[in-house]
Amino acid sequence: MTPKKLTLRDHLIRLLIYFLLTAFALLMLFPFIYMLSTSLKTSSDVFHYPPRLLPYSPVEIDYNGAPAPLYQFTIDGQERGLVLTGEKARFGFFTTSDLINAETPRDSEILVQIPLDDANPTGNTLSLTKADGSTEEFEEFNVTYRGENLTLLKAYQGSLDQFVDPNDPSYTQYANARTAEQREVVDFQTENYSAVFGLNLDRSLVNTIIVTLGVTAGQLVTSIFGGYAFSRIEFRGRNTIFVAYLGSIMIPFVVLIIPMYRLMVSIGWQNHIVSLIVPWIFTAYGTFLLRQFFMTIPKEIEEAALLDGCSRFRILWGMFVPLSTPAIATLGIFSFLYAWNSFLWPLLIIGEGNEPNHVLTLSMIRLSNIAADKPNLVLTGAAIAIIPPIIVFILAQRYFIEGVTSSAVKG
Amino acid sequence: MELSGRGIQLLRPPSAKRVHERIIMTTLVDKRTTGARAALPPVVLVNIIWNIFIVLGSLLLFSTVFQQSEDFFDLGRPVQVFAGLIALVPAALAVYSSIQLIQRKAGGRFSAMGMNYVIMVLAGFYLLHLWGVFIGMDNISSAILANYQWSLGLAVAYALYWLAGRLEEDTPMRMRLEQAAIGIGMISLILLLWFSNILGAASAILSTYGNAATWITTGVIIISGVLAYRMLKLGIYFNETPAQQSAWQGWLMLSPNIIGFMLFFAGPLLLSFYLSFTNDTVGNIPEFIGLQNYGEILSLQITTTSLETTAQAALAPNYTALGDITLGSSRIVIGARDPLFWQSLRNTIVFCLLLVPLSVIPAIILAMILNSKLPAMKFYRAVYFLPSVAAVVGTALIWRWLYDPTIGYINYIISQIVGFLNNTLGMSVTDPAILWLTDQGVVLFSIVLLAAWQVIGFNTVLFLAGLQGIPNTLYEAAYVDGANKWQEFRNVTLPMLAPTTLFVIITTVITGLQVFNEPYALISARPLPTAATTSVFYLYNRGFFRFEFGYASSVAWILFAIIFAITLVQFRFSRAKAYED
Repeated sequence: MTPKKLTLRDHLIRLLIYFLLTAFALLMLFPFIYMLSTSLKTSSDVFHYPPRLLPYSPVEIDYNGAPAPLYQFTIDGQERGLVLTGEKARFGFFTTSDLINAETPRDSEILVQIPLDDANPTGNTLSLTKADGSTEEFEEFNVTYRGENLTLLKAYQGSLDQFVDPNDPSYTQYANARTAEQREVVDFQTENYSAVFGLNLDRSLVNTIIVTLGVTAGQLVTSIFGGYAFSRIEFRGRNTIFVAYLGSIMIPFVVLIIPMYRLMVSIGWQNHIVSLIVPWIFTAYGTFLLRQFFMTIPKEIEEAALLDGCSRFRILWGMFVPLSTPAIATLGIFSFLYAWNSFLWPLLIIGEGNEPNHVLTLSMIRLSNIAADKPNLVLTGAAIAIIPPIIVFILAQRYFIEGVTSSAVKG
Repeated sequence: MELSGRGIQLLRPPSAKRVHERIIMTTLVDKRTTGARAALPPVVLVNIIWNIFIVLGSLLLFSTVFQQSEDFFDLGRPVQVFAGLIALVPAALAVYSSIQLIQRKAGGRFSAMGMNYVIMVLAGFYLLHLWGVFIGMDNISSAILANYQWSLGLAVAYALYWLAGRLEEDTPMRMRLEQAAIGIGMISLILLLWFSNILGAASAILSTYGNAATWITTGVIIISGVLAYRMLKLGIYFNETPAQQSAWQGWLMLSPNIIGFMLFFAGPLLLSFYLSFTNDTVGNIPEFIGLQNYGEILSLQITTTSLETTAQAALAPNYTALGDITLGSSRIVIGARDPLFWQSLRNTIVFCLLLVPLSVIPAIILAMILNSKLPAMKFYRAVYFLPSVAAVVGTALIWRWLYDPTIGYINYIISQIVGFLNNTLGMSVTDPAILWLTDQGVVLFSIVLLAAWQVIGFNTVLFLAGLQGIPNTLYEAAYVDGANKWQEFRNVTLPMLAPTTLFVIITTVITGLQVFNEPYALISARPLPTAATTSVFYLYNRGFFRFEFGYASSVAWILFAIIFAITLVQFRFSRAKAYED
């Protein structure tokens, strides 16, 4: 086909495609973004509603020798930061008889709010009948508001907290401290990470690294030997073993958990790291993957080396292994992921109370129980467990995709 | 195929001397086969004597197995008999190998080699056990944590070495970098070992030699290892053919896999099968009870009753009603003896039925878009793949907070949309305020959403590979025939993508049937609500909360039967496809 000139319609379609792909990408990434942002928040910021993505913490300044949170006020279009003095004043909330809400006076539209001491009762009261037949009495007051003298009804009264401008102590303002808006700045709580490392995550991170290195190295070695024997050495019984080995891929792990658990208990490996490594260094999938790759290496090269008297072992390590780096990298990455993310087996074999031998997945569950009301810490734990595989994925993306695709070709 | 330079360099041809030796040996063999037979070589004699010890050891092992009490590690008599018979195998092999060796037959050499090798490996494992190496692995992480600066030194050394590998070969810079890396690595390793009290560990290992078992095991390893090696070198004496040489080399290379397969797969599989026919619970000797577990799990009762009686009353006493259907004036009641099994199976099947469309249809669409030759498609593919890289436990914890009814983003976005509809469009929609994880009717769907999010990218990559495998000629033919885009999709893409689709669906279903991590980590309530209990979770409850190992094994085998049936369907179809081609 000859290259066409792109029309406006093509451009629009492209724009639409990129828009859809990006929207979907954001959807897929959102849980990770949320995880990172929450892991950098304070414990109280997490419960802020509506939820916000950036981590905020309150601004504190020095007031009367002690740190005090700064509150945000907008007065006459001007923003001011005030601190709470701790003093309270009784306030009256005044309005007209038209605006008053007899059913629930606190829902009335308030025109003026001033300290009760500044208002003078006129002595008159207004009685209003409620829907249920009872009456509510409202007192009338003379109030001065912005230089105007008004006669209004008191809807209700209540105490308000006093705020003061730390730079100008004569400037005070009254508001409800619970509903007042605190002044906040974006602030990344990186200390969440050290806090979580202190909750056994350091130890379980090292355990996970040890288990992952052990399982990956073991699987690579056994698969390289097995794959070579299955692909290149002819002997009686090989094909039978191969079929049995392939068949074992079909057996789901759930069939094995009970006997494996019994086995680990009887040889004394229960609750020990070794039970997470040694039983898992044999992999039918890996052996199969490397066998398939070794089959593509031409026989002639190997036969020439054999005639020269090279041992099988040297052919394997000197020729097949360097030639098969892509397949070995693919297998290595899958072993890494499998070992790093495994959960069911560690859950069964490493007891809940045996924290020194926990791996990250177990520690995360434990963290989610002991810090059930601190999602920032729980998600920090999740970040510690999730970020390393993501980094490996970004560095070795090609091998991931190859590995996934090769499993599809099999089917 | 291109050979890398390194691959060839490592394969130096053998020296002229070795080739010369080979020729001499070959001529010697020719003489020997024609002439009278000389006395057996000393190694063979030693091996025959060693075989006597193996027979004795094997009999000793056999009697130890039978001297154990009948409970035999809580596994019961049948396992004991089986273990006893296994213990006798070396004795039988040793007798066979001795006879064959005296007759100078190759079979004697192979059986001796194989047996000595396996004995060496197993005794090696046992020696490591006696040394306390396996259990001692727990201390590695304390040592690393206490001396993390030296561990970091190792990491730095590795990074330097990796960096050096990127540089051009044979440059002084690369040499220097490599030397620095090796130096840093060695120093860090020595310091790490020193500060981790390597001497203490070594003295702990030496102190195990106060025990006779350690001495005997070490001796067995040395003797069997030396004998295996010497027998291996006797190939010429036994007229080894190239085929025989290949055979032992093949078995040797497969041996790690075979030994691991036997110990950690075949053995446990047999044990699981046996346990599923017993009433095994913790601390009890399992008794053989035939198909009773399976009967209990699978028993269903279907009866019809009038509308007046309750569903439960219509069933036999040990049955619990699962559900009922009203047909006219009568009611059909289904009851089961193990209702939780059926409920968990129903949950699992519903999970799969929801997961397949939610993870397959978006994946096909995404793959079709990503298959266009536009720039940056690989970037999007990588982004979509990311969730399947992360640990399910971690992502489930993230979703647990996304699903939170008060501060979670999902309900926040829903209420924003509802607010928009009401305020801007003037509709009157009530905010559903869904309790994602506590509402019994929703919780399974919440698990499906998490699982679908995690698996979409994986499926997309599979479909992408399938799409790229469709030959371009088909599209060209369709273009020539004047097909429009839809016809092209309908008549070329979809049929050609059918095998991939089948594969994706089957793998999704097979992993879906084994779903466990998602409900475990997503829902903190224990016991897990029935609506969220999947089959594997049910198995876990029976096996590891109630410790009914026998019953749980039966559940496992039933699950396996279901999974196996689905796998067979896939095989059937891919076979049929292969014949078509």
